Amino acid sequence: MYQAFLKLSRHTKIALCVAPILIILGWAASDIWAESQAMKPRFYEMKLSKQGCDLVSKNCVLGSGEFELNLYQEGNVTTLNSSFPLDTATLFLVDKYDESAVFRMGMKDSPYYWHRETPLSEFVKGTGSQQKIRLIATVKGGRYVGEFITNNRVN
Amino acid sequence: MENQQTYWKDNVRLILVCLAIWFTVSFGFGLLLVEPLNTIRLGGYKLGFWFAQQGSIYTFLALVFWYAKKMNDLDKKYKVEEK
Repeated sequence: MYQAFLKLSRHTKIALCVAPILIILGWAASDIWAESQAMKPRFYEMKLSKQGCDLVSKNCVLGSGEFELNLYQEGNVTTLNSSFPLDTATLFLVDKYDESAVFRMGMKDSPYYWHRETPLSEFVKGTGSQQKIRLIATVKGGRYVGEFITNNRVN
Repeated sequence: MENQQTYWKDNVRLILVCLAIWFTVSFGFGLLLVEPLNTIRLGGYKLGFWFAQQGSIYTFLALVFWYAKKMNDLDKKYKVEEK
């Protein structure tokens, strides 16, 4: 191997030695650039899946690209499960006058799970009950925003 | 002396061309133009993603041998080739 390298012309030897340095420099610079881009605030709109939003039966999935959130209700606790680790999660329960009550969710074991005690179970009680919800989740400077109406199909 | 200067000028020009290609494929295609390139598919992969992961490396390899060939040609032109 070394003998074969020695047989190469001086320009090939120099190019083979310089190329890895340029690759490492490029990798480091692109990493810095990508990091700075990721920290810039950006907004993404999340859309509700076609099945709609049934919180009680854990069937309420919002998504934007590969990012997905699953919101569900167990007793008095509203839980959010994310496909990526979140920095913050905030839930807004909106009434018929468009006034909202804010619930900042707390991390549950890992940044993939967030929960908070809310009065949501009262609002989504019974088949066909509806509640307007706004949700903001932040991931490394990116803000994922969703507004939707729940539609309970079970008691 | 004049020969040495034009040899050096040609050498620097070649290096600048190589650096421009290096910048275009690594930063240009892999980062700055990644979104528009991702609309094009190459063998099932998004083109911007492919350039960031593989395409730039292949180009760097090709660049190494292209640069060496061009420099060997320059050596011959200015009669300073290796014996």
